Amino acid sequence: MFEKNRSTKQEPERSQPQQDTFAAPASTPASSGRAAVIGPGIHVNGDISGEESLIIEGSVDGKIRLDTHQVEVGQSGRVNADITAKVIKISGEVRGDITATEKVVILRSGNVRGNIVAPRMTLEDGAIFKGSIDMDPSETVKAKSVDPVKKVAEKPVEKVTETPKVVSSGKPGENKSYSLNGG
Amino acid sequence: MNSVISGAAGVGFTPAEPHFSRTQQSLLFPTMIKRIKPDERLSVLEIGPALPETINFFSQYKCRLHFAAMYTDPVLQMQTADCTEAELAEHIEQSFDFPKGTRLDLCLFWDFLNYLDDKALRAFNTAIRPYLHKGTRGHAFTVRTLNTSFSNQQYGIEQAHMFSIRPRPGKQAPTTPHTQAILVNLLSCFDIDQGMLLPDGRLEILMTASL
Repeated sequence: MFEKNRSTKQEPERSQPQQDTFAAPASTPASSGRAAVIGPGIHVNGDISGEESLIIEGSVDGKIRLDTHQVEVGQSGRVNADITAKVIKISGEVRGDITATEKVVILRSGNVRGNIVAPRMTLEDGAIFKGSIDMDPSETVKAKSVDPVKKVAEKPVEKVTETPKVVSSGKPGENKSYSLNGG
Repeated sequence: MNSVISGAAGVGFTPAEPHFSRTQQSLLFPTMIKRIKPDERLSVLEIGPALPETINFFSQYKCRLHFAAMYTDPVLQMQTADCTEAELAEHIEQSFDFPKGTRLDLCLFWDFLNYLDDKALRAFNTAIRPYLHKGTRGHAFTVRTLNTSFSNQQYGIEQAHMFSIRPRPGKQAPTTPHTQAILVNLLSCFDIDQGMLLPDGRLEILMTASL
């Protein structure tokens, strides 16, 4: 009797263990919520691409490209690679350029050195970042994405030069002009 | 130096904000920000660390924000060592690590220039000059008199007229305050346009590139 009950209860829980064990992100896009994990004792030397989200607790040297999925660099994660993904969350250390089509989040324990391109960016207090952030990456991201019709329709950003304005001049009558776009 | 306005600006406490302890009002910074047109794409140098409020503030603009994190850069130790000005300049330029073709529109120096001695400041001038253009503007704190001290603090931009101030983690590096006259001499790639004397003796200044 006990044997029978045990076997019927175990049946529906069969597909859960990976998600529970590795706390795969619930909002992982275009996937069933599963995520591959590079454990703390694993070192990958080479490029990574695929159709699944990825959690990195070990170290990676190379390139990571998961265009429609999430990459999470855990606290023990050490990445020396350019990362491209839909959502990128960093609690560990990353050296490389980061491109996200949706969002980049650098958590409190994160330490990032590189350039970031993303439509949305969150940096938690205490996180360390050195590099540049493109705050309006729509053109860059669109150029990389597959939407040729929209790409053709887009007008390139025109260089604007501000008309001369008097700000505060030491010499009476002396005007200073300011151009916000370098040239 | 074209004008010095005294008074007005002050430092206040904002206990409601959990992530930083103090704020400082600015009357000069908004004049710099006001000139940004909504469609303009900016290149901004933040000499200090990346802080959430600064990122939030600039997220309303089309811009590339360069966080140089120079307060923790080895240059502050190198300047006291036996490095030549050329070596310092080379190190600073490498530390900036700007992408090729970068031309900065806004430079936020905060009080960093007062952490550089004369040799290092000349080196800084050499290193940053190639990335400026005629319209580049800068914001910094300097001093009116040399006995003014700087606290070990870091700045963020909460709003155009309000900076956030937090204690800087770690030990404060030795400071070498520069008066405006000395500053314009050593940082020759900028002219000072406006200045405002703050209650604690610091001088908030706006600068324009002088190339």
